[in-house]
Amino acid sequence: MKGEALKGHLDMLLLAALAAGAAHGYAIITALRERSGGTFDLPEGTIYPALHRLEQSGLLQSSWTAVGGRRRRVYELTKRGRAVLAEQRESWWVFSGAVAAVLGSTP
Amino acid sequence: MTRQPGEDFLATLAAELTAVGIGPQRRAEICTEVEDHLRESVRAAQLQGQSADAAWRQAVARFGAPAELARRFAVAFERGDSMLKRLALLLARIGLRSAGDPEVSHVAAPGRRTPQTRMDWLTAGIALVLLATGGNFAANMIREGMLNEFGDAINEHWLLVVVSGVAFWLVTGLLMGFGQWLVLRRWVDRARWWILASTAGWGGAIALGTTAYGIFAAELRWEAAGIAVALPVLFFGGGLFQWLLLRRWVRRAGWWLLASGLSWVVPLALTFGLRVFLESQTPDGGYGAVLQVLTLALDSALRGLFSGVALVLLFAQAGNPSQRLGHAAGAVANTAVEAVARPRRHLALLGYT
Repeated sequence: MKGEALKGHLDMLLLAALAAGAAHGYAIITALRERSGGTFDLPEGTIYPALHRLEQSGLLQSSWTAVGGRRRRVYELTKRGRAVLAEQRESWWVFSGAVAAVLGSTP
Repeated sequence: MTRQPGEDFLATLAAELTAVGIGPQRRAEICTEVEDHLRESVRAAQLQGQSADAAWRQAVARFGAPAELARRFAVAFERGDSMLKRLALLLARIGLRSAGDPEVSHVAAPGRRTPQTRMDWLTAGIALVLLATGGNFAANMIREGMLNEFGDAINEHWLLVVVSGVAFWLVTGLLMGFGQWLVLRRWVDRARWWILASTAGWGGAIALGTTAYGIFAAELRWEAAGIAVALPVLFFGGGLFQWLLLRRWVRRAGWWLLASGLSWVVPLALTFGLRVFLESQTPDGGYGAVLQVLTLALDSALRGLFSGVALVLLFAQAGNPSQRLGHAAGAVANTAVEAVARPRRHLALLGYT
């Protein structure tokens, strides 16, 4: 999928990827790729700054764990992040439903 | 032993993060996080049959250019910070991001002279003037307050001179330490301790030195002993705590004790000579206020230059030419800070002996 088409939706996708529970960056990227059937194979250089931005905004929080002798940063949704995700999901369903309805009526 | 592609990437990324003004803690966290990701990517790729070299190259490539990645992180943090925090960061940054970076320097890389960099320099100029004005004002307030309180007694009783001197030099040490911290923070972690070390060093040295002189000269009437005790304390004491910090950061930190002492003795001697010369050139032997300020400014500038060059030399031992360019900019910035930030009455305080 072209990056341009993804603009504006990246935050929602990241929040959604974390809706099931805490995960680190690698797992988030993998989940996005696998759940989208390979459509959202987003570069790390885009994802990590976005995760930090969402944390700065208070939608995510992170903590450090130790895995195999390495320190690992794990992200999870904050209460506010869950609320924002719920709002964005609602908006998306309305929007995508409307787009589908319009496209579906086109010959 | 060959370096993995990931190591080069992380080293470059760390330098680029420094260049965009991301502090040591965030920088370390980002690099740790990226390294963890790289290692996991490589492990997964190898499980799928890729060679280690190809896996590393692919993992690194997915992050893109380090400079662009660093820029994105910088934008992410700027957007996330509150207005108050951003203002505080701006003041703390104070424009010296262009100076003294051991790994990446805007000075050493002309291509990096962005509008943001120029804005930083402008901010630095304004902030330094504000800093100097505030520092001068605070230091003079202390001195003037004591003069008003005690009148001529301040010059007759050595304990009052000690108290006023210590108060004066605590402010001066704080100010000098802050100015040098602006440069040092680009080189080392936990550089903020330098401010405390400078304040404690200069305040302590003046307290000990002048008290020792006062006891010997004023109380015991043995001036030679007073001078013999006070001079080494004053010469080495100011840089003592700074030296303790420098030992952790550079080799041959002991030279700082000598450099720190020389950095105030030599300018003091030079400007004293200039002052005597100027007085001899005026018909009435007077010494105009403008000339006094000019010689004191020269003293301050020389002091900043001496200490700045000493720091540059200490930190540049392992540096390459481009690093030294950055360090030289640091020395210039340090000189600028010192030139405008030194309170005006220190010669009188030191000269009471």
